Amino acid sequence: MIQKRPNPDLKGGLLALLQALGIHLAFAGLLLVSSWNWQAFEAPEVAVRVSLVDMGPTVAERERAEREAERRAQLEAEREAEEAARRAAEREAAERARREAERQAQAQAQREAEQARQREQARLEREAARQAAEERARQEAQARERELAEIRAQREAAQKAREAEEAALEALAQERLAKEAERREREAAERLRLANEQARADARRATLREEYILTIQELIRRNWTRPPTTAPGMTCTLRVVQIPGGEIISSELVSPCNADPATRRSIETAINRVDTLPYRGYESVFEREIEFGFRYDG
Amino acid sequence: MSLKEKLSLDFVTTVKAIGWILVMGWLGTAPAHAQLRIEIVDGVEGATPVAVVPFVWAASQQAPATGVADVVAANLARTGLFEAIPRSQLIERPTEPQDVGFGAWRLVGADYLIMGRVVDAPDGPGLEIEYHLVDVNAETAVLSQALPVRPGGLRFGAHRVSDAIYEALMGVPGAFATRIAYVVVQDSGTDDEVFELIVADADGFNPQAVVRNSEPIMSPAWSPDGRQIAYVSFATGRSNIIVQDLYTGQNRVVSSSRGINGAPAFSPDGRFLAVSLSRGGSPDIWLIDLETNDRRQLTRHWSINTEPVWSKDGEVIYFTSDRAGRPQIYSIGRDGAGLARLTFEGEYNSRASVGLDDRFLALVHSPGNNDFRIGIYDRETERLRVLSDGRMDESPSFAPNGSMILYARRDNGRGELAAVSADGRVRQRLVNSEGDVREPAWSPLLR
Repeated sequence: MIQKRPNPDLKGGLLALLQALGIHLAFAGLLLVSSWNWQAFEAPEVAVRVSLVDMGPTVAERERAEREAERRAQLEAEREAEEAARRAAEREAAERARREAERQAQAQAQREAEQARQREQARLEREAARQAAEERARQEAQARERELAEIRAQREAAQKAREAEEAALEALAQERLAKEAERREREAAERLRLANEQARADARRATLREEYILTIQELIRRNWTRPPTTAPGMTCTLRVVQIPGGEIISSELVSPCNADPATRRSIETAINRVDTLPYRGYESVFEREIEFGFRYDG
Repeated sequence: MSLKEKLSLDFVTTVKAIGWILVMGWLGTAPAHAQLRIEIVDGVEGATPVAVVPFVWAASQQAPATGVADVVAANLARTGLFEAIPRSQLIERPTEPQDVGFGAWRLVGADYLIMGRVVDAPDGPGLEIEYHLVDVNAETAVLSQALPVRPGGLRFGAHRVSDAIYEALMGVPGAFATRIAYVVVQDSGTDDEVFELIVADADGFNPQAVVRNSEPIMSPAWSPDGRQIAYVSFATGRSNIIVQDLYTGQNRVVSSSRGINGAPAFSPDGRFLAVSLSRGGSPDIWLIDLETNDRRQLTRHWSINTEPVWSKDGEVIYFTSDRAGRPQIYSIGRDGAGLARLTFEGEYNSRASVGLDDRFLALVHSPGNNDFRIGIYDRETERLRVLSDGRMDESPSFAPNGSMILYARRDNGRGELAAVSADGRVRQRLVNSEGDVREPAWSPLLR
């Protein structure tokens, strides 16, 4: 993968080299300026020493002094020459050191530049690899998507086809059912109408009869004041005859009846209190004879 | 309904029925002839509403403050079986059934109407009570009678009227014209303390002292004919059982053994007394033959055995014993065989009184909280029901028709008479004289 890559960092490397050179030149300039300043300060020191030599009092002394001074001057000259040589050597050493430093700095800069270049290159390589991976993933996803879309499309098409088929079948079935129902309905219509008519009449009578019974039941129950002496387990039947209009014309307790006299009396009183049974509205379910089963379970 | 009425009704019925059948036949929709049966379950339990119209006073003597109607109404109401309609709602004052406007009485809600008048006895002194019991709903007279009463006996006459009405409506004799006996202590707890054996009407009126003594009198018991009372007297300083004739005033000591002589009870045939005698040991039940004076020991136990009462057939004796630690009711055959414990409910059951038959026993019951109340024990269901509401109720005694129970209750440390209906619905204090009342006993039915 690296071999295939075109050389993208040639321009970058040149740029780094120029930058390194610039930095070194700047350093060299700085060094030059600092050595100038230093020599400028040396000059006044020499002038002060010369004025001290001119203050001798006698000739001998002056001669001795002159010789001494000559010797000293010679020594001084020697020393100065020595000093100059030393300074020159120092300057040369400094220059060598400077050069060495410059060289080392340059080498360092070069190393750093090389490292930077290598890091950059690695980064670029990673980036390139990432991009390549992304691209590959993207392409793969696209491929999958295309494939899925195709499957979906196929499925949809199949579904549509099936639905259409089913719809067609359903429509067909519906049609058949509708036709069947219609036919049945048509066939049963007459019979049904007749049956309904009959059932309605029966039901009307049945519910009315039920209501009739419940009404009478509640009426008698409410009017039966049962004495506290009634023993649990008491059962007695009272047969009542009524005439249209509901008027009770006779009532009698049917044997056997296990009620005590007070309870028997209370049962008869219940019927006598009521006197007339419900009639209006119940004409069609009227019963001439009714048996009332009086019961107390305790 | 007379035969004539019935025939005429039947005729009307027949004509109407034929007409109806013709009509239905003409319509062509005659209903099926299934017998219609309607079940009526439970009804509404309640007292029968009765209107007692004040009796008209038509006698020559002064009318008493309390009329016959008042006595009758109070008697009926006390049983809990009847409810007297308040006088303010008595809209008419008929004295004869033919004067009754039935519709109006139906509106008032009366099932029965009682009316009448008091007149001079047609022959000799005394009065006569004419009375009628009318069925308002059936619009018929149930009872129409004239009852002669002795001079001064109007109130007892009213009790007899009550009895007749009760029997006509309930099918069992009333127990209003009966007596009660009880002990009253005058100046109780003082040196002047006096004990009296009192006999009064069943409603507590007309109290009369039969015996009076400064020493205690206890445990009065009626003979089955209502002529004699056996009781315990300490007149000699120790207990004796005495039988006193109420009519002649004669009395005799029937037991004065060493130790306790207590709790006499006449056998149903009147020949024997069941008693509790200790004879120096612990009290046991004994039988004393009043004719031969023979005595036979029924129980033999170191515990206390007392308060014997006889079953209705005289074959079994119920008594109180603490042989199981606390007082409970036991039974034993009159031959001393078949001992059995009857009560198990509560911590304390004593002093049984037998109802109309042996099914119900009235007793003093305590659940164990130091309240003593009157209970009724149903031997058939083995259930005990508390009837009274006092804290120190004692000595229950069934009315001879089983409708009510008389007992003594304590009020402010003083005993007084109270009655409760056998169903527990009506409780009433009975009027009585001053003093501390104890140990009431209801007489048998008097003839």
